[in-house]
Amino acid sequence: MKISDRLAYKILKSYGIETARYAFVKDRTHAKRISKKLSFPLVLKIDSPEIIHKSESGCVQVAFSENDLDEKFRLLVKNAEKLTKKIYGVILQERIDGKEMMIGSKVDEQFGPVICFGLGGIFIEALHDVSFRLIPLEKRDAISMIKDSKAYDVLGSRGGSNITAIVDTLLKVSRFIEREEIKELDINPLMVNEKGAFAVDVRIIR
Amino acid sequence: MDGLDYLFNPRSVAIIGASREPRKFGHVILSNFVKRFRGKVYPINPNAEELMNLKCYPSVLDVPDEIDLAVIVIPAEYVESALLECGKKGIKAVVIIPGGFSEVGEKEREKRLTEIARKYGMRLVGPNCIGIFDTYSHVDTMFSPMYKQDRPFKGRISFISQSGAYGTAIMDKAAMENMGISKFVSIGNRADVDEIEMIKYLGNDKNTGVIVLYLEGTKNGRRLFNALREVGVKKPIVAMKGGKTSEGSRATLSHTASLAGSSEIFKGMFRQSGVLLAENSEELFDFARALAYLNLPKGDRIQIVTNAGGFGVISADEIIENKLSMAKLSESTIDRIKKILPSYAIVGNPIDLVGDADSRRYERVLKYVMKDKGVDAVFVVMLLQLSALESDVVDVLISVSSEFGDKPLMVCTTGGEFTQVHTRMMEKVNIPTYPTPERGIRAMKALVDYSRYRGIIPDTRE
Repeated sequence: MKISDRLAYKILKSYGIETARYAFVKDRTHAKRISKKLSFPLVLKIDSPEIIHKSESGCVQVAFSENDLDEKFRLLVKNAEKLTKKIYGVILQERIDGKEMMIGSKVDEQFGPVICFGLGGIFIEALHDVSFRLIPLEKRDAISMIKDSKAYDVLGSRGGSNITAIVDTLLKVSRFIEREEIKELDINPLMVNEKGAFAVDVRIIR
Repeated sequence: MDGLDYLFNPRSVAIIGASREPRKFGHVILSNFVKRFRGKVYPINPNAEELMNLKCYPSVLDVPDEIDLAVIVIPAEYVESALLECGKKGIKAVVIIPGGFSEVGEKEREKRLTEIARKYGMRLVGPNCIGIFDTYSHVDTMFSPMYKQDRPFKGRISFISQSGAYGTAIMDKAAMENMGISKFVSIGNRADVDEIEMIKYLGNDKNTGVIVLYLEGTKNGRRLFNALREVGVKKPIVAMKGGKTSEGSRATLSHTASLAGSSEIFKGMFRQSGVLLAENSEELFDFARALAYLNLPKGDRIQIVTNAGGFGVISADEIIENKLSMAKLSESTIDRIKKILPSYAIVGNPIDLVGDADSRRYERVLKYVMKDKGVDAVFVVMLLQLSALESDVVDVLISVSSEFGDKPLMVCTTGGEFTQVHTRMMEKVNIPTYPTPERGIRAMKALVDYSRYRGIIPDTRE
């Protein structure tokens, strides 16, 4: 079962995995108040265990200003309510630019927990560019799995510091999977830019 | 002796199902042992008095002496009782050739074999396999007659295959190409001994320098991973995973009754354990030969020496494509080489000795190249079609390779019958020789990868 996004982000943070700045809100007034502490544009995402593919069903919206926030919030909730009654709340998240990568994990029948890394976002389906390793991961495994993926070429010659951030994130995810009982994990996209690597969307199946 | 030692080094062997009928497996296997095996051989067949001048016994229990290894070559329904007799006789190891077990859904029948083996402390290879072939002890349970399938000579490559027929074909080809083999094991349904135990065993085998693995799936991924990691720091392991597509995976279900694992995970697991991953069966042994014959390079800078410009260019492309480096010769090496070459030859990387190069020119240039500290490995291209180059270039390569044995040297030569004769000559003296620059440089890459895994080439990545 998919755990709530609110909890998922919290778990990532507790393992030191960086996320985009966000807040969890229950309603519009709450959203309005908390948005002052964040910077626009903000991405609004429904937090519901029933909605797995958020963007396809209009359950992700972007608010460019405080005025915009109210309208987008209404739209978001309306779209979500068409699908389910089970809505925990809404995640408000700062938008981050960067290169879209992904980190995933699953429990394989023959090998137990494995971790994968590759190009994220829209490239996942098209390129199937992921490299796998068994958990626990050592630093040299993390480096080699990045090198095995086309993501390495996408990161380009200035990839150095980014690669350090990805290696660091991979090692933290490996430690997290080792300690928690998790069936599947998707961090997609993991946004990589000059400041580091940030989990922008996460899905954890227990 | 370890239980598995009796599979490879038995003092005596019983062939259960030995036959006088030349087409029967029991006939071929008995004849293999009679021809080459130095220990005692006991044919077992209740309907014969004598086979190939050996006294034949109705059961292993009737043999008056001790038996180390039994090879069972009778139909599936009779195997259980024969195995029970082996247990009672105190036989240490058994190879069960016939199919008709878990691969066709007869799981219970197979389970009973495992139980009998455990009860009597026997080690079991198979069922549904080709069994064991060892060039040192001459244990040979391959049931293709020698006139149809030749046997390779002694070498340092050992091959574990989940597919029996594939292994048979490879052994035949290895014999023709002069590729030396140490052991071949067809593991079949793995009722007892599996690939994991075999990898560990070969890891400690002094006659095995490189382990080659053909796998379609495994029953215990974590244990396999640990075994590969443990052995991979002692000697190189080259692997190919069959059943890459989902179509292929479905085919393996009925093949050796095992689930094919997801290819991507296998690939990652191999990378993580330092195993060299071959994309196809040519690469499997291209890599193995390089790793078996050559020392590991101390860097990834490759120098090309050629008598054909085009092949030099293709080789250079492959070096770049495979993320190896082009060596840069020192000024003094360049000066020396320029002095001995005609003015129209090109000294750089590649060094083009040009079309009128004879073996003497190869020799003088290669000696300087092998000495250059900026060169980690040498890729020699030689087209034997050119009239100036005589067969004695093989002698040159042998003497240069042995004089500078620390530095890997491999050869690429493309051509027909004449070329292939020379390829086989070089293979016989352990100079790995490839028919195309693409295959040669891929093998070079495997050598560099393994050297890096072992820390001989420092890993400067990140």
